[in-house]
Amino acid sequence: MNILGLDTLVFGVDDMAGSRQFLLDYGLDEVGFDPAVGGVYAALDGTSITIRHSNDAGLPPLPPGAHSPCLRETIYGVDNADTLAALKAELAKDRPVEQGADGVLRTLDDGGFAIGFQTTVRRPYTARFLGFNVPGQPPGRAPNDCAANPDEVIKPRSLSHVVYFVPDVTKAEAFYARLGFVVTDRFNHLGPFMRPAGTQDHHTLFMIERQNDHMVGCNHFTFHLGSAAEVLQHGWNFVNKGYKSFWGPGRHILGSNHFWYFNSPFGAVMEIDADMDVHDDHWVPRSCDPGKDNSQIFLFGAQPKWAPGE
Amino acid sequence: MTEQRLCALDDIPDGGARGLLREGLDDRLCVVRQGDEVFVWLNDCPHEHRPMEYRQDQFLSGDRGHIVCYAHSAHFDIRSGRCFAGPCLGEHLVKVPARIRDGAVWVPAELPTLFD
Repeated sequence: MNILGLDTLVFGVDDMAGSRQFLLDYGLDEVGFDPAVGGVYAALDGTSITIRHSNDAGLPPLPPGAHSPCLRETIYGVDNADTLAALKAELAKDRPVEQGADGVLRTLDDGGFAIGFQTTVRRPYTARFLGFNVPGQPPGRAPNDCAANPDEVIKPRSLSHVVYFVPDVTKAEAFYARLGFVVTDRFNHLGPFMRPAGTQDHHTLFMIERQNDHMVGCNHFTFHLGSAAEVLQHGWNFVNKGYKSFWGPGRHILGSNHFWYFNSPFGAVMEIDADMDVHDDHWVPRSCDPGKDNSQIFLFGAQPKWAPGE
Repeated sequence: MTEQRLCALDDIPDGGARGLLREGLDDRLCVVRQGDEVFVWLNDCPHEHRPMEYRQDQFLSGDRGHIVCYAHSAHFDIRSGRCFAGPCLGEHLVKVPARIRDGAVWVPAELPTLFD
């Protein structure tokens, strides 16, 4: 089943104005906003975050035990209607499935997370070409093309991955395997990184087995930026707007992505990342214990600007 | 006990919160005011021991009824500091004793720690 990746994540929020400003500052484009209803905020490829008031009757239920603000729905993009039909047939074997007027095929996964599938909104786009000058390789940029621009407008390119706290990670992994997801790597006794059949990205889904009955909902979610330098510059801008870093900047080992995580008004940490590994069916999943040494190669923190002589 | 002047009471909006005592890019304290009362907590969520607000001073829920850790949606009672929902249910924020004198908020010069 050719699931390409995430199309949109829907959050129920309690602070609509703050949520809107956060997504604008994050660099997403406002597709629509009505303070009474909510809004949609898109990356360059059309993938998006949707925000709604947490008491919106049209939202799916909260994951069991979760409290607002919280992720309410995960919508995946698929390649075509045939894949949607195949998903419908597979899911209908053991759970109710609905296909709404909006064309989205909806159900609940085994952890109680609302999920949906639609023909993808992902679209081609143009953005600044990011090349790197590396000795021993052909130049990555044309002569006189200067890479560093303090005023660069950095925009998220694509919705990358979502991470759930789940009650039973073995059961959760088996469910997504039925939909064509494969495990790329694994943290022992914690959970798997998974990618669906329609992308080579290291993971679009990571699941963490909860440590207690109250650790529920979304752990974090992420859009891809263009480069590690964009992660640093965009995160720096974010810090200077008063947003609070949760973890980063650093570089993960599993997936190789550069990361920076920030607290958010969505009840989950919102990451920016770049340069994730891609894998094909020849890849043999690795496994390792979780913890600080296996979670990152290095970890830095923002600090006030300084220059020699000051 | 030696005290330090934290801020003027009116520096904290009534019904609102502020992050105070800057250390690097984080504020060590979460300070909530309700009328003439202030509730001062270490800005340290018992779940992952990170700052709780998502943006400068943004500690409270949408209805300002409780403190939220905006990392993973842990909810805390403003008066007791007890986590009543979320990943650290039943645990408590670390309370910083505070008193109001001459329109200013005073806290101990030596703050309590997670290990007290």
